[in-house]
Amino acid sequence: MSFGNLIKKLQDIMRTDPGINGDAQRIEQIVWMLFLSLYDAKEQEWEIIDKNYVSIIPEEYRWRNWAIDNKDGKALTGDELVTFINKLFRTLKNLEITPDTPVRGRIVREVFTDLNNYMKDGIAIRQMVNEFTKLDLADFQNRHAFNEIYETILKDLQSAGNSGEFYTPRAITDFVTRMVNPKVGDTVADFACGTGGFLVSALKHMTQNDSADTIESNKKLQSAFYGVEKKPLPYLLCTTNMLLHDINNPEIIHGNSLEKNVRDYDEKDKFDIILMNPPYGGNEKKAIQSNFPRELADSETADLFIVEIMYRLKKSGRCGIVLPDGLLFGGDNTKTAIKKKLLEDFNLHTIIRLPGSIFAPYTSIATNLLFFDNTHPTKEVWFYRMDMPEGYKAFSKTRPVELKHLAPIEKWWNDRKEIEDEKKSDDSSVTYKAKSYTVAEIADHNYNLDLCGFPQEEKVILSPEETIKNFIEKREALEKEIDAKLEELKQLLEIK
Amino acid sequence: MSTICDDLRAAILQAAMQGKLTKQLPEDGNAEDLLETIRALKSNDKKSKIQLGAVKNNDKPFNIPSSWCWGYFGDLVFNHDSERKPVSKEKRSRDNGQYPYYGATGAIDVVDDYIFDGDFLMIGEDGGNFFVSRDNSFIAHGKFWANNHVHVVSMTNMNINYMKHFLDSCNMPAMGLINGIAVPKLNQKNLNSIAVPIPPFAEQKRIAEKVDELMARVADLEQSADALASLRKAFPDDIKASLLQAAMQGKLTKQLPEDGNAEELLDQIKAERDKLIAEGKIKKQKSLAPITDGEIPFNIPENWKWVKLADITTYKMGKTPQRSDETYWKDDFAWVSIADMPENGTLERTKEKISQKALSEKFNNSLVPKGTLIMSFKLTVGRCSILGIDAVHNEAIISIFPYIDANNSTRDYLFATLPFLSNFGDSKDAIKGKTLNNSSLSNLLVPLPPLAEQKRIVERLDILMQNINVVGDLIASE
Repeated sequence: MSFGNLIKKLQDIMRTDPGINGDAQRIEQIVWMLFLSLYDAKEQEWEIIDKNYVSIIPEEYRWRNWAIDNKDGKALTGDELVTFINKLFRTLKNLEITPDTPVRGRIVREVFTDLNNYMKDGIAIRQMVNEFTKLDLADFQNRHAFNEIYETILKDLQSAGNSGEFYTPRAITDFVTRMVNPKVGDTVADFACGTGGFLVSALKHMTQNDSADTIESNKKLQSAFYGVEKKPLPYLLCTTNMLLHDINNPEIIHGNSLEKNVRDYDEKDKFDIILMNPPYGGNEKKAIQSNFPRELADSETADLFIVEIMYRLKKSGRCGIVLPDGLLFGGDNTKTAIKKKLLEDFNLHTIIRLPGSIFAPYTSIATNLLFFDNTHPTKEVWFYRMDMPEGYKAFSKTRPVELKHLAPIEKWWNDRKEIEDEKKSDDSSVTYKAKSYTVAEIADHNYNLDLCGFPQEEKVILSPEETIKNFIEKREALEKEIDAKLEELKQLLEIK
Repeated sequence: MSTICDDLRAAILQAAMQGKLTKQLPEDGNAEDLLETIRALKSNDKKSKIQLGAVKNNDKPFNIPSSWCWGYFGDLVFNHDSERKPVSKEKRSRDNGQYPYYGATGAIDVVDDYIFDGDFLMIGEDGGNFFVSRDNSFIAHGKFWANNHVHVVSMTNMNINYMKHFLDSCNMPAMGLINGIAVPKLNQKNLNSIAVPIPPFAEQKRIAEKVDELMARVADLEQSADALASLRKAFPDDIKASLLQAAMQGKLTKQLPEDGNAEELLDQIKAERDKLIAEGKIKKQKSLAPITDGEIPFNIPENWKWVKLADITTYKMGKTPQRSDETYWKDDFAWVSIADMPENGTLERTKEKISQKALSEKFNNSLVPKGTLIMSFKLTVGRCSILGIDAVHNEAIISIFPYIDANNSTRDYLFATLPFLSNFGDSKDAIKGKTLNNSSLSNLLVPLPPLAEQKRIVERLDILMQNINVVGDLIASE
């Protein structure tokens, strides 16, 4: 069943409950029920493999023992159910954890630490639980369900657009993974893993391409993945996502990897493969910036992540990362220093320019795929501009980008040639869709990596009088805004 | 204006600590009583031996309301520094990590166990942010571990948020509390010796909440302030572009009948060109296609004419001698690459130089004379400089020689307008990283005024641009 429909049904039920106030609480309700039902399905698998498996959840609170409604009038509902659920939360928040508790057990307490039950109407709760019992686990694994759920939730929250939180379209994640080509035996990391899209993509790629498929390879895969995520909800979903994909003790950290000083990293903190789509537009405080060498540190989150990657990529390791235009163009000292270091210490071999609508409908920000490895200094960088496929003016919610749209890039990847754009007329200058530039040429261009880019929207140059008028008008508007805010501040300062 | 927001933040904290942000309410009682309670608690606590006593008058930096009192930091909190334990990086890397591991400026790792559980105020000891910002401390909740680079204190009867704001209001270096040159250090003795203005407990909470609310508003204000700053920053370039466009439309200068018209100038140019061809000084080039109405970017005055660059100038591309041959690269003659070219300026020096041998073999023994206009046309398109020295240049640059030039009027006119014109032609579909070639260079469209008006345009632009630079500086520094 489609998740869009499920979520909608659940939201309709929740609207009747007096305890729920707003979208954030609705999400929490969905998440805890989703988690318990999925966890139970997973436990069924674990019980088959391990006869001695003991659940960390006390028997009476296990999903299978209270959620199923056999329509015989015995299922908990109404006030009884509300009381039961509140007890369940208290119990799960206080589960006893020892250093020996495996991650898959510990997760239950961690998940419930950050969650609450807000619903007061036991009948509504019963209705919701019944919707969940209709789910089929197999659906999840095949359809990157978590990303769908989270994106559905994000869409509804209308909070897409805050702190650069956009989930990378499946096609892009899979493409980047394919080109970086992780193999069984490699360690794979994502320091801003969100719901785990890149990690799962890598896992699938490695399993599909593993000719050996032995117990040995499975063992290697179990400890191959490492993720860090700052926000609690994606962190929960990521951990659960990994569990669902049979990584039993996933190493996903709930935290901010930028809080660690890059000079403190050593071999143990490095990885063979790094895949990421870092958040953009974030503003990092001085405390965070002080974890990076001064000349490479600014307040832009994505920039700091690139520097972190440079300190954590193993020798001969490979990286694929999604980045906005900002760093590519950016001419300030720090951005230039970062690009210089990337070109001097690493082999930045490919940059793919993506069209603005790739992340539709969340944002139209211009993004790029950068591929580099830790083998030798860059000699030349190949640029390739992905143009809109035939029949598409732009990607959208109903017509998103698909892997097949990226097939021409893959074809070009393995047989790289310069591709000139069709000229407008004999006298037009030559522009390129694909071309390689040497490091000397890039240095001469002030490390501005905005090459093989998209046609600019013509910037209209007004007359001098109009330019001045425009400036004065906009300035007045902003000054009014500032004055209003200052006035508010003044009023607040009045002693009460 | 972001400094105004910084000033605001500092002022808010100062006012908070002097009791000027909140009303002193009689029902709050007296801070003296609060201090007594704390003293009694501490003297019963075996671990806390420090009793610094009443604050000396010299240590009181400002006046406080009558219901408040002063106390030394060490007397107000329980210090847990002795319970700290560093954990080796090696052990940390082996931990799966579910508890934060705190250092001087915040969480630096995660570990498997915890030594503290509760609400604690953490103040940087070694390597804190004392100079960088006022973020001297942070609050830790729940279970965590701390190393010995951060002080760990707890408190009862003092509001932890108030204490954090108080510490943020302290300029610790200025107060002489920081030692150490390589790694700045706030030791326990100095931390304990800080005099704290103590409001009654209920007022502490009100102050903390008020400060939080105000800081949120300041952050909001900062956004508008930053937008205004960007607008101001963009203005000088915007107005320069619009002036340049107006100049080339003949709108900055008067068209005078005594100037004659561009047709006459063109005839002179053609004559000069034919002369040079006859003398063998330049090669005859195939004639260029005439300019169609559709190609014309904008209208120009009656006595001007749209021409192509090759109609009014001859130009030469340069070369790069083989890098592998070191006999070509000595310190004899300046060799220009785009990175050497100042934007809109005179070029006085180059990073690299070539040898006499290279000049003879690769450049036909001729240097481009000082005073020549040069322009880049690959990758960076349209950057113009005037040579301040004799030099040669690479193949991404052309040196430009107008056929007719009186006192460099045409050279200067092109110097001002080519940056705009070289990017304008295809700007509808301008693609970054574009490269012009011989053909597109020859066919660059230039609006040609009579010589005398060319001179007046250059003079007018000079004055206006100087003016803009002054205005631009003023606006940027507002």
